[in-house]
Amino acid sequence: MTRYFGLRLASALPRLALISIFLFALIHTPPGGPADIYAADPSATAADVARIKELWGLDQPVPLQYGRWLRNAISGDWGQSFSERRPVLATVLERLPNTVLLTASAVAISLVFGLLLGVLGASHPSRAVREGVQGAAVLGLSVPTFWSGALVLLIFSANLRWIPSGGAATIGAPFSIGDRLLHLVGPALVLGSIYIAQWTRYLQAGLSEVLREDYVRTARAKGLAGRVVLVRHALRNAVLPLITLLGLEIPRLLSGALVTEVVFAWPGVGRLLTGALLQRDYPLVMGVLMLLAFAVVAVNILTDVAYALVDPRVRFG
Amino acid sequence: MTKNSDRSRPSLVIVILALALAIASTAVPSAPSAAAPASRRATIGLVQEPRTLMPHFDLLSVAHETQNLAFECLLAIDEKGNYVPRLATEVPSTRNDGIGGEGRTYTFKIRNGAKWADGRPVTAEDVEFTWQVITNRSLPIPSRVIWSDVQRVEVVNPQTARLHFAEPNSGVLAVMATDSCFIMPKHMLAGSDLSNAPFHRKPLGSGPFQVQEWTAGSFIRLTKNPSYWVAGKPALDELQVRILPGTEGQRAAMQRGEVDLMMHLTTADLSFVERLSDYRVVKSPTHAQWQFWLHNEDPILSDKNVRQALAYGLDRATITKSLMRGTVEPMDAALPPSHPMHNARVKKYPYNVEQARGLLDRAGWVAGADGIRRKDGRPLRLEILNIAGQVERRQVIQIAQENWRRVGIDTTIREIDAPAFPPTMAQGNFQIAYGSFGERHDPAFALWLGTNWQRYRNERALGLLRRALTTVRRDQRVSLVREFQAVAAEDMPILMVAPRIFLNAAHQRLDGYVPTLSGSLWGAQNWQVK
Repeated sequence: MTRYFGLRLASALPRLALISIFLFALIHTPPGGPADIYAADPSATAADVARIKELWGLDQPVPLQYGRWLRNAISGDWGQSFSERRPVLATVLERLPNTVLLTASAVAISLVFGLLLGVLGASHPSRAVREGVQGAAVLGLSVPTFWSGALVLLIFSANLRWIPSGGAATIGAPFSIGDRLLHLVGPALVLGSIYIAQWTRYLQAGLSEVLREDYVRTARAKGLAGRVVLVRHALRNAVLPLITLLGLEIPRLLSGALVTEVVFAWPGVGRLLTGALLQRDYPLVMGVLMLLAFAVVAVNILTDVAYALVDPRVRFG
Repeated sequence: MTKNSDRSRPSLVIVILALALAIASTAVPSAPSAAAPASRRATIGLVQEPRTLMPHFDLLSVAHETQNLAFECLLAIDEKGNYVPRLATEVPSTRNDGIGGEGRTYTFKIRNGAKWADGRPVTAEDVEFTWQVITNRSLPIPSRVIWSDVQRVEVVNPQTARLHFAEPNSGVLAVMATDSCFIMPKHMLAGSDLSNAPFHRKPLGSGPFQVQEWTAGSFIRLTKNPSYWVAGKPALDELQVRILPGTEGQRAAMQRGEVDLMMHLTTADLSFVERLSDYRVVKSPTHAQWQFWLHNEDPILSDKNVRQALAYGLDRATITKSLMRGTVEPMDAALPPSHPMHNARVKKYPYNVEQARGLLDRAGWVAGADGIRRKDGRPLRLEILNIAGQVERRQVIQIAQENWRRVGIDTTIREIDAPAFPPTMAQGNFQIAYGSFGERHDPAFALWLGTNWQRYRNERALGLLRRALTTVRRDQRVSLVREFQAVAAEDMPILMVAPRIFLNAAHQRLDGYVPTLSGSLWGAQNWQVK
């Protein structure tokens, strides 16, 4: 197990290095740099723009800039944000807990409801219920988060006044779990909703198939209780592909969080990234994207390990 | 089996429902009240977050506005468009000997009793220090306009600073009252690394409020500056600046009455705000306008007839009435009507299809079978450059496309993102481009003498502006700038569409809110919440 884990970890480093080269090249490709933005203002001259480029080392060739970035990043210095004038690492880490909280809540909500609806959709004796679940899942998948977010705000914030209009906590109020939860519930539900639908669909399809397998019939024939057959035999096998999917969905979940963060004014990494991209704040963009790359690679490793743990056919080593 | 599993399901559902209820019950009692904020506190909604609060490092208008709460300028502009003293005791003029050497020296007397939030006095050395910071070549200060023309700042005495210029300079007062005007505390900043100082996030100024807390992406909380120089001001104890990037969140916040002032709404929000009885729409003035840059050296657009045909062929009244919801009127002069140097008597281009067609005929562009004009076998096709992402901009361009097609001009749209716009324009890689641009209260003519993306080369016209820059007598300056506008309107180097205004929604309980060219928040010390 340790060796397996170590090998997966070692293969991650060259992957991350390649990702960083690709990202660095990519963000430097579109026209217009962080200094050029100033040229849009009536009071900045061409000389001002040139001077700032020189100050930030943007007059150097891109490979040289990358080399300098990599050297510093390895030594723990992720640079200074051009726009916020403070260290990139501190800027990103300040926002990260909010994004982790939001995405983790969304995943938790979607897994709980997804599993529940998936099982209902696969094993309920009534065809109307099964098809109802399927229909609801398709509907859930087709609704974009900006729309469902707007709807949630309109109904639950503006009209019913159950949840706040945005933010992560009440300004100036002392910390309280209740206050945080109240701010979290809207964005987490909206972000989780697409995944509820997705997990429901996957689980419903997988479980329906597994329930027709011979070993399930054997288990039933042995006289095991229906609940035991469903949970211990069928569900365990049907959940396997879900673990892989969850690993694959994490990056998409983070990008979905971006829209939700804007709608609910949630101070997460997604909004930080959008702002940084619009400002061409290269160090900050690199910082956020590399952090996401780390997260994706880490989740992939964890998925592999989880898969190996759940499926005895996957051997360590 | 199915029967048994049926029994298992309700129990799981009950557990989850119970869990959800438990979470909800812990959350509800501590819910923030939706009632009106306390009477000594006001909340401002911003659609965008400032990147830094250190003055002069960020050109975003939201940064400038928020800095207005914590910092002060030597002068300000009141609602009538007049200069008024702020940190200075009077507006320099030739009459009070504030302007000397025919516009080569400007003397500012600092107000007695003006203090930084830590209680230290504001002095002439702070003015000198501000000039040193702005002109320091090793700092990423995006704009140094006017300040970089200052040869030296003479500290006449602790309360008097004199700015010396090599040439007469007419733009000093506008800069000291608007965008690059905030005075910085020398005692806090001298000797520190200004590029990366904590001051960017936790500044200290001489303004009515001081920053207490800045939670990135969420809010900035400011409290009353106890050392503020006006007795009894500010009237409020606390200001909260909330960052609300999404339209839905802004609307929900207004429907709940959570914000006293929601800034920089779009015209699409107008009808929504008008339906809210608690809010009134306040137009915040600017000297900016929406316009089509025309590339004056483009093979097709170098012909004045074609440029004028574009103007006659564009139904600007429909754009301002329908898209801009009647908040503004079409404009023809190079400076908008709000500008004190605006010339109302320039050549006008009312929507006139026949006139546009006649001009194109004269230019040799003949209508083809498909309705598109041709010359030497080449179709009259032009590309419009736009910044992607804003619905209203796109709609204006779509109206223009339809209008211009009627006179035989075929157009296509090319969209790029905002950071790519300035370099694309500077390289001249466009034919027509839509966007906005603004000049100062006393223009430095950046649109014409600075960027000149339109590549307008009429030396007679540009010479008038150059003369205005060094003409200290205001009446003479005004007539030079007005003459320029008349020449430019005839040449049609840029097709002006309409003035650009900022729309803000103010809650009825907010008293004393007066936006001027110095900004929306410059008078926050006078605000009261009823």
